[in-house]
Amino acid sequence: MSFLDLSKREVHVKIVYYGPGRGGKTTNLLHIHEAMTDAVRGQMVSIDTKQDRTLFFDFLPLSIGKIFGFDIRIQLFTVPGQVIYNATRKLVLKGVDGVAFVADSQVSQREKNIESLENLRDNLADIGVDISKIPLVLQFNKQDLAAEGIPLLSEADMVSDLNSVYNVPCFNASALTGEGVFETLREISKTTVKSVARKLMPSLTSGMT
Amino acid sequence: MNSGDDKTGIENIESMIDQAIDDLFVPSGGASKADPAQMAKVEAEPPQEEPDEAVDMDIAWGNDDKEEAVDFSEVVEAGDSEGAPSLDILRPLHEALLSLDWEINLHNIDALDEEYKRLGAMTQDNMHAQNAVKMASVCCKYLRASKSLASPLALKFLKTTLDSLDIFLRPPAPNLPSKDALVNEMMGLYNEMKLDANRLRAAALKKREAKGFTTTQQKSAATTAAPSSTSSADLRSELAHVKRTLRDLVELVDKIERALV
Repeated sequence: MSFLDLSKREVHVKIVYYGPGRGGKTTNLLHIHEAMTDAVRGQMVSIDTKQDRTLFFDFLPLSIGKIFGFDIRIQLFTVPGQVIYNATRKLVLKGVDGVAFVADSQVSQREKNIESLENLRDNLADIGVDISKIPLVLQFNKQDLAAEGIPLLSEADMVSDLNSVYNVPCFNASALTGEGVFETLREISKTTVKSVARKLMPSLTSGMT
Repeated sequence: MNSGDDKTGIENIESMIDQAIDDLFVPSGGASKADPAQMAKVEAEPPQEEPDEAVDMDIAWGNDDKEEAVDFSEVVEAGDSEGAPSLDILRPLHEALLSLDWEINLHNIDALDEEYKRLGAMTQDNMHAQNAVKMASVCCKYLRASKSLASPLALKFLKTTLDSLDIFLRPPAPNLPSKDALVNEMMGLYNEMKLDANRLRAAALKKREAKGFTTTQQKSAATTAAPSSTSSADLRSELAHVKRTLRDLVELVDKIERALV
């Protein structure tokens, strides 16, 4: 759930980049972080878990300025894609407002994409969130690999595998070059912030002076 | 506020959100600042890796091996002519470490090691930095051998080293932490990591030996043709032991039955 700080007049919106391991989630965030100005972006930090080994997730607060007198801050997180880190993924999903699912377009990763989306659905269900009710955007990443002769899934296949049920916006992307990175971010930010604003409308209007 | 006002309010907010986000997230033109080469380190497929095998981590820890020896004694006393601003120099190293922290694999270890080599070449007149780089390089070797089975202290050490490097590379200033204290902290962690690595290695070796013994036993059992006289004797001894145990058990059951009657 988004966080509303009436004293600071801030609304914090949490967007999680989810997807299979090595699918390009971190690259998305690194690219965004590199491309944003210091005035807007926060520092990327790593957070230690209580596990033996420290894992990190990226945390990229973005201030998008004042709306109705409130600062809207978008926080971007990634989760570890590797299967063994499911507990961490669940932890990061707590309080999520929107999800950008970064799929790997390589033919060899087809099953992993599907598994990861199912894992997202299950983990959201565990925290009482229906995947069909939360802002969700799909990104078909690694399109640049086609130029290297690596077989990629067609967009139709990707949509059939991942988007036939949810029917959400999807974008071809290459996080490596930046193609599609901001398009994905813009879409998920808009839908998520709007969703949060609708939920918080009463508080926002009552907090106005 | 009536429902009509609510609707207008929501529409207003949504249009403001659209505008704010459109202004903020400019399509990828603004992304030209990103360095594709750096991104490739995160994005590229990892090379084929050997399975993790902690017992193979035959690491030279500096004071065990002449070739890899790191003379830590000179670290504390060494003077240096540091002064290079550290922020930009350390940024690639920081990103490589984040990637490694995310997932310990050969690709990420190599990337970090490369960054340390690059930093080592750039800071040759800075003895504190040089020694930190040497220690970190040994740590990379350890990680390469043990990968995800490495001691968690290895990553802690690397993070501490990075923090220390940030100070080592800054121009001298009165409010900075003492470099000697930082070196001591690094050394302490390094030794802790070494001990932990040896402990993990011993445990892994023990496990492997146990596994090896089981495998030998299984092979022996599976072999029916001409068993050696020694293994036959062992089996006969084992059989006799089982028979005795069973006899004892039967007697015990009889006793219990009699007691119940």
